[in-house]
Amino acid sequence: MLNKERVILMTKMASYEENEGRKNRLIMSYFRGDYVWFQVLKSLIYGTVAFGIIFGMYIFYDFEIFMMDIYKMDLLEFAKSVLKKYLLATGIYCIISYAVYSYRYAKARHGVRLYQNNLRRLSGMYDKT
Amino acid sequence: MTSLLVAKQYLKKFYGKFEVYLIPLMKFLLSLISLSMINGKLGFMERLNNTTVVLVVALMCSFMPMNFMIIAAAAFVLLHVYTLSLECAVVVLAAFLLMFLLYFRFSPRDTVVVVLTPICFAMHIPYVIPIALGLLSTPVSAVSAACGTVAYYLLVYVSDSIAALTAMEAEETTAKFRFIIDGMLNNRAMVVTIAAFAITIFLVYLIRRLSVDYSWTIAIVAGALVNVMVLLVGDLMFDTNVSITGVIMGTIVSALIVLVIQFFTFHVDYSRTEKVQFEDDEYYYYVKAVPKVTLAVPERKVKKINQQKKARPSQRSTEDRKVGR
Repeated sequence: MLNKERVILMTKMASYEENEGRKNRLIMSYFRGDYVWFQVLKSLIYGTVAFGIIFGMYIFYDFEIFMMDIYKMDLLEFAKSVLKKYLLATGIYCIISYAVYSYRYAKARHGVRLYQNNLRRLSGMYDKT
Repeated sequence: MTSLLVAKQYLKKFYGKFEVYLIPLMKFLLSLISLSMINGKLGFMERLNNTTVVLVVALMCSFMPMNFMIIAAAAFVLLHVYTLSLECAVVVLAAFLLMFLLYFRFSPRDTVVVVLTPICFAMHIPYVIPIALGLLSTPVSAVSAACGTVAYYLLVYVSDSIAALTAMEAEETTAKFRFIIDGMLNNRAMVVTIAAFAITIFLVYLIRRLSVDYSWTIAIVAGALVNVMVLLVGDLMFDTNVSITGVIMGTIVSALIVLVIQFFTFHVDYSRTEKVQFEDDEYYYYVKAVPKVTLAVPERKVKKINQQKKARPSQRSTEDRKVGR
């Protein structure tokens, strides 16, 4: 005979495995620190590329003036100010990434725990019959 | 109302049954509309401005993941803009790269909003996006709506400044570059629209999360009003030249569309609300349970009026003999 409760539970679990489960399994294959720092590192790379694009656009916007001023300006001071801005921008981006991926890891762990509880419940149902 | 509910159930059943075919079909239609819109607005490259190419790419999009559609649309825009001017293409590429690198890394699912927002703008109902996102998503989606708005205004700005760009000499590279960036950054209408969308999304989200009765409907009405107000105040302060009639009519139509979305996603019967209170060892619980409005789809019964003809006993015995039973 069909056990209605068991069928509902198995459907829920199958749906989880198909959608969120796949993603969560990938996340949970890392330790928390490894996962979060790996994502922050990726963000640092993306942030650097994005900063490079913005900086390139900024220079090209006033390219003629920049080329005229380049011999007059203190290049070391200019590099320092650019570096400061770069550190500030990527720093903020990395902090946001850290918060987002820490939250995602916690959420994935919660999802996996729920799934394991459901597995235990299902196994208990089979033991009863 | 009952017939509407029955229709809803039929639609749900139909969608459940043919989901495998309907999702690619919807992707196909969405990509077809967006690519045709891009061709209509820009259309500088003749090879791309061709129905066959659009159909082939849309067909590819229907079988690929959703993000492929964004890449295809971005490639179409870039190729058209490149035909117009290289400087313009560089600026557009930089804007797209910044969007992909900084934001869509976090929420790749939201990319569909970037496609839908310009389409809604073209249909003069862009206000569907903030109200619907406030109801169905989180305030973070304001960034996706902002990206969609930037993409739309970028397209409009490029298509409006064809004459100015072609009039500039080929040597004036920096001037062209400056012209495009200035046009993008000093676009007050775009900034006001982004602000209005962000405020609307946040407000709609806050209200619909309340446990008051009819919170979704209140959120839709409040969102529509705030959207109109912010756009009009923005017009007064920054002289954005928005059409007041267009904003009001667009918001009313958008609110009606969102009401239809609400009917499909959140339809509850507040008259049967139950408030229960109980406790366990650690907490007191004050629970408000609102039942969903559901209706069983009436099943068709086929009643056979004519009974099947029975073979006569004499005929049956001769048939049996033939078979040798």
